Amino acid sequence: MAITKPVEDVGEANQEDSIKADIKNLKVFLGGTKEKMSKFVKERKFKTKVKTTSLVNATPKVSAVNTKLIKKFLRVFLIVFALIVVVVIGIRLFFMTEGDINKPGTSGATPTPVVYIPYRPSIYSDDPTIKVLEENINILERELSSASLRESLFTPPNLDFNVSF
Amino acid sequence: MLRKKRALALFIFFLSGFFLLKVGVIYSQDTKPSSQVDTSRLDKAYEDYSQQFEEYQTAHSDYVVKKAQYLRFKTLTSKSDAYDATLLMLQKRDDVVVSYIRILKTKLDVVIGITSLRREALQIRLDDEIGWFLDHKNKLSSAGTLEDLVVDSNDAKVRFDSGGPLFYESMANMSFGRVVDFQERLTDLFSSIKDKVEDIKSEQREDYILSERKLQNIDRWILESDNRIQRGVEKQTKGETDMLTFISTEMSGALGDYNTTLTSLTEAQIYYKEAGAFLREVIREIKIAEE
Repeated sequence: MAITKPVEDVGEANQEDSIKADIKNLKVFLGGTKEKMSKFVKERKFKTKVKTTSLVNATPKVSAVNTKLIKKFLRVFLIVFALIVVVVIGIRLFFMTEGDINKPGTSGATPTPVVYIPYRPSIYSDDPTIKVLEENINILERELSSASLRESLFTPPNLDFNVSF
Repeated sequence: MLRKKRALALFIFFLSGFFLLKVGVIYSQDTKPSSQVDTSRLDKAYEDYSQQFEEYQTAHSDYVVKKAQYLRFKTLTSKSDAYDATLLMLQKRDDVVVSYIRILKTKLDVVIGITSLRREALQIRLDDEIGWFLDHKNKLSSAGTLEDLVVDSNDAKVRFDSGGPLFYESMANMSFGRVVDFQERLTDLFSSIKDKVEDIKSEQREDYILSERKLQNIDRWILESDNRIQRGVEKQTKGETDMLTFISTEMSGALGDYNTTLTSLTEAQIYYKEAGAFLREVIREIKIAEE
């Protein structure tokens, strides 16, 4: 019994060692694959990261150029438009003030200009008959000076009477 | 925040700009007065004449084109087109002549200074011309060929040329009427002033008596004025004689006769103007006190 026991014990001990060794081997194997996997995953991750970052970095560049152009265009447009408005307002104000200047004053009494008479009036200067005659002679003289006797409006029309084939 | 403020300022600025523009527009609308044009018979006749002349010009342009096409291609279609265009042009030409004579007639109605007898005599002759051209226009559509249209056109040409002296005579009468009107008004004024001077001469009140020297001056101006009126009347009579004896029977000669008449009438006008100036001197002498 005593001999069989140690044999059993040695056998058990050997069995235990092989299991341990197997576990160890498995651990080593698993550790290696884990490392490989993590390395592989890391590499993939890095690659995709590089790709995405390059893409992300490229689009803002283009959009930034566009927005800059639009901003510039808007700025120029606004400046030109503002200038036009300023000029138009200026012209309007100028003409409005000029009109005001040309308009006869409405407030306050205006002094009556003293009529200069280069001669001493006679007793007949206020005579109604003389005044009427003077007025009529002035009107007639004006008409005689300005009237054109040629009736240009009524000259015969210029028509084509030379019809032939 | 700063951006918002800027945008607000810009908005107010534009708003005020548009408001000012709007105010300007309203202002200009309000100040424009509405005017109504009174259209007399003469204006209407002249408007009609202008419209007829425009239509004639369009028809004439078409005639020129169609005639050129016909002369180039000599096809039946182009001949037919040329016939249509010529017919239309001749009809429009007659319309222009009729509307022209009508404005002469209407003007004679409103012109002053000519006797009703002379006015009616001229209007009857003008009516004859209108009648002839209306008949001619109606006859045109019966022309069968282009050659017939040419013959009809030549008839109108002869008639229009022979009517020239009548047209210019009517125009001369318009000018003559104005000179007669000037002469009548001047003679009336001359008589009135002369009467007034006689009244002043016969004045007995001391303050109203003019000096001998002043009265001599006044007499001198009256005499000068009378002389100018007499000379004016002479020229006016010469113009009338020229006008009544239009010797030309064609358009171009009638223009010469018209110019001759106008020369005499213009000389009469100048004399009347001088007479008027001398009458004004009479008034001036009366209005100035003794030195």
